Amino acid sequence: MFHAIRTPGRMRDQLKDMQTRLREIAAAFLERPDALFFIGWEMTPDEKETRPFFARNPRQAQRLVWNDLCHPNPASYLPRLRDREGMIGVAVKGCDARALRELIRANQIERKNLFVLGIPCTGLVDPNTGAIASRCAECQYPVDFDYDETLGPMETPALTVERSAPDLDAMSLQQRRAFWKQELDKCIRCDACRKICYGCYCPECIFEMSDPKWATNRGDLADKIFYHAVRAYHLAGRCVGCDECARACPMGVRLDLLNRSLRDHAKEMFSFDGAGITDEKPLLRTFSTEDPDPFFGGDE
Amino acid sequence: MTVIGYMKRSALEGVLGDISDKLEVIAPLPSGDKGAVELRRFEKGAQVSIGPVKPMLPLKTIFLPPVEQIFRFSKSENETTVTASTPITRDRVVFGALGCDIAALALIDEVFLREPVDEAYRERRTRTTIVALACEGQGPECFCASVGIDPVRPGGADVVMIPVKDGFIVETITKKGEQLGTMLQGALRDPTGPQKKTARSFTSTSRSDVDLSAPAGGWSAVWESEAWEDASARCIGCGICTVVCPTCHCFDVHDERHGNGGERFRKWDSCMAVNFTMMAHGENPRPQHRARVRQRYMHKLVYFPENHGAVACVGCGRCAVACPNRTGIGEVADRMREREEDSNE
Amino acid sequence: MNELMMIPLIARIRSIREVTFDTLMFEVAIEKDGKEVPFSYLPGQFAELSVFGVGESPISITSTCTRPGLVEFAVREVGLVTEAMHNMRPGDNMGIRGPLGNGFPVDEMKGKDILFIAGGIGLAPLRGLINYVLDNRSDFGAVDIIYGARAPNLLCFDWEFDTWKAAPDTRVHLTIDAPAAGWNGSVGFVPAIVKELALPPGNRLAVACGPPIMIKYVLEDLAAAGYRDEDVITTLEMKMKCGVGKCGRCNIGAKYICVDGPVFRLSELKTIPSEY
Ligand SMILES: Cc1cc2nc3c(=O)[nH]c(=O)nc-3n(C[C@H](O)[C@H](O)[C@H](O)COP(=O)(O)OP(=O)(O)OC[C@H]3O[C@@H](n4cnc5c(N)ncnc54)[C@H](O)[C@@H]3O)c2cc1C
Ligand code: SF4
Ligand code: SF4
Ligand code: SF4
Ligand code: SF4
Repeated sequence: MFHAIRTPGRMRDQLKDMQTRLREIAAAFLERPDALFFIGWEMTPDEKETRPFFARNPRQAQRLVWNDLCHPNPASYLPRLRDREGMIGVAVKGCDARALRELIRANQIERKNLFVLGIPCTGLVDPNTGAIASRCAECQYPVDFDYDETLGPMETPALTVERSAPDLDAMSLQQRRAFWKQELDKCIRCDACRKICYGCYCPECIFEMSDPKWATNRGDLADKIFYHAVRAYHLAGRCVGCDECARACPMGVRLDLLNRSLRDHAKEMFSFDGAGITDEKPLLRTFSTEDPDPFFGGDE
Repeated sequence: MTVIGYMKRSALEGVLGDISDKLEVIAPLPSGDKGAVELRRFEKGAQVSIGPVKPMLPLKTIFLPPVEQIFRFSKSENETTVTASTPITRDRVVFGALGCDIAALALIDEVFLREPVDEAYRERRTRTTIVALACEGQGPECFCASVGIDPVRPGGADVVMIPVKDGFIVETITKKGEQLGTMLQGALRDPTGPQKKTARSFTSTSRSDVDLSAPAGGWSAVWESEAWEDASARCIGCGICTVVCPTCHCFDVHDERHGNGGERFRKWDSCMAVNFTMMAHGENPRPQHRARVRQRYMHKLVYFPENHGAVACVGCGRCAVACPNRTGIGEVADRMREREEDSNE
Repeated sequence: MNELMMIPLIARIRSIREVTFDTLMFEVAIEKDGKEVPFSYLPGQFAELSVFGVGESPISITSTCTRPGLVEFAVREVGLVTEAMHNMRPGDNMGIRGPLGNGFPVDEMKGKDILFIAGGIGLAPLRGLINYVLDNRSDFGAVDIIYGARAPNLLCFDWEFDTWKAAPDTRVHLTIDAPAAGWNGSVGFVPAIVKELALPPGNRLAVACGPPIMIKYVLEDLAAAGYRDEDVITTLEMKMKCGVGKCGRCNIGAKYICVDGPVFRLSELKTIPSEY
């Protein structure tokens, strides 16, 4: 059952075939004696969206779906499952595969404990607008990732989608400051953005520590800005652009824009464009005397 | 219940503006650019949002603010002076409250008004007049009718406004409501026969088929239910379900020092957070997601009924809408009642 | 009522006494609006003590209401608030809200023989009850106190032992986990001593406080010795904030430790999930 608003009929049939194969592959995997579960997607009870689903036996594999609403990133569950004994199956589309690649590189999960099914994605639909999700325009697949199986050639869909407004780079500093103040003030510090993020796998986040205490608990605008600024820097060069934070946020904070500017700046200033795609070292783990330093007035 | 008149929709903002000279007025106002709605202080000139959009944050925010100062203290040599904070300074009226949200206050009352009474909460409660907006159902997620709530004339409302063509029929229910009614007089007219008829037959689309009952046998009958498995596997522990829930009321207490003084404040907390029960020495009685997910549903569906005689859910459906993984309580309750043999394992 | 709810009174520290290397006992006078006020409580109740600007912690009242005057708290340093307390001096003040919790069912205990079983800092809540019983000696039957710690210098309130031993029909059985120089009392874990003494149930109540692992074995041993669940009393510890049943975090099943406890009979514990 699809609610693909923009996906044309011919492609819908193709998606349906892929879903059938996904179920077959997951069911076969779950027959293995060492299989724990297979993480993919199922329809939500109202059938309007999908949500992550942990299939635990071949019969449950029939609940798995693949369609253009499969936004959740199944790879983000892996760090907390790292100590489980047995094999975990996981379905990944492009952005999920980038996250998975980074997790393996950061030793958050071992490749040998995973069964990875790659799904060539043709761009997902934003359930609110019915249009192709804006992040899909910038999609890139990791080139040399070793999938156990795939549902077709793992190629970047190369969509031409307009970048979602507003264009922060076109704003003046004052406008931008006002924009972020207004955006971040909506935040209620539920930390869903952090908890859903594949990259926020630190066992003890600095925002949860009481000793030493890095952040106050008052929850005013300064706290919110501090939280988002720190999280942004911790994810610079690691954010793979799956936009799960923005999807999770109950207050509609435009975290997608924050992360996008961070990726843009990493590219502009340090020619870094590698999160989850290449073997380049993570941005914050490299330093070069050639790095531009506009802040201290160095040569840019 | 007394019908006191008909008010035109176009008169509403003017009336609220006049009232705001005497009372603090809180109303659903637009928030952001995506059609969201927020309960906030109404200032003259603002446009009230009336339509099928639930404020994401429920009415409880007006009575238990997300962050609330308890007291301030100041220190000198060997003395500490503690000054209790003032919860509110003016009497208030909340306009446009929804039935589910109002019903939830009665559940929170069970906890905050029993001995020892939470004075800040009581003060906010007694100094606030609640004007309900009869609700025709705000979306497919609504199921308040399933938990015995009347979305049209909810118990706990002081005044009810029932939408009819181009306006509302205003009914007063309590003494407090009658007092507010006198402030509305200028904007009221005698309702016509058809208007009264529409008001009388006003109904809601809220679902009445969601079953939140727990099986007989109390907690032990469902302690090892499969329901916790699915719901906790996809749960990320963000606690949004508890933030948006009109009945959740747990809080944490924090101190903050500023120079020679400081403050103590409380802040919403959630049983879905790891730190909720984490003790000194790092011992935690609910160390896994599964135990925390179980706590949330058990509290709502088993413990609260045991202690207070009602499920701690008013059927607003917000949890399912706001959860990044769309886990709703109705679905979990269904699974919880499944017995081993009819589960789809 | 406010002082129970969220606004503390002042607890002025009169003296501080070392209990063990990581535990200090504070004797405090309670003040309201700058004047000393009486503070009445039951054995087994606790108070929320606060260091202003740092936070609040639930601490058992270890003194007894039969000796009006200063109120005593023994605090072990484990985290932020307890560390700040350990940095305080006589004359300093803390915040106090209380008394909180149900306390021991002293009226129902009258006329009974009592077996007290404690491990480590678990003696803190029991000390108040023991002194209450001994101050009302004729209301109670035979008294036996089994108390253990890892080493001799970790036995809390050692200044009490001689007085307790001297009370009529009262025996004190001290034990440490492993042999130590200069120790000539029993050696062995508390549950082993309980077994060895084998005091028959009869008209006897057992009251046990200590680390969860000790309690677990003690409860098993008492059951094996024939004690009925109604006659075994213990206390539970859960993370707490408000202490008055509102903040929502100390529940085990439908029971809130701060108001329904911290004292429970084993028969009650068997009706709630074992989430502790
Ligand atoms: C009913 C009861 C009686 C107690 N009696 C005593 C006593 O007599 N002596 C003693 O030394 N300790 C006692 N404790 C334990 C004591 O409350 C904790 O060790 C203390 O709160 C730790 O606080 P902290 O700030 O130093 O640690 P942190 O780890 O910094 O804790 C932060 C906050 O979490 C809460 N918290 C953390 N651990 C606990 C815990 N184990 N129990 C309750 N709340 C906790 C407190 O609100 C504390 O302020 C008792 C606990 C309870 C529930
Ligand atoms: S998810 Fe949204 S509201 Fe929650 S902490 Fe992140 S930005 Fe704030
Ligand atoms: S549990 Fe969900 S549906 Fe029920 S009152 Fe809370 S948010 Fe609303
Ligand atoms: S325990 Fe959990 S479910 Fe219950 S009121 Fe508190 S936050 Fe809500
Ligand atoms: S909102 Fe959903 S994901 Fe977040 S804690 Fe609640 S159930 Fe878990």
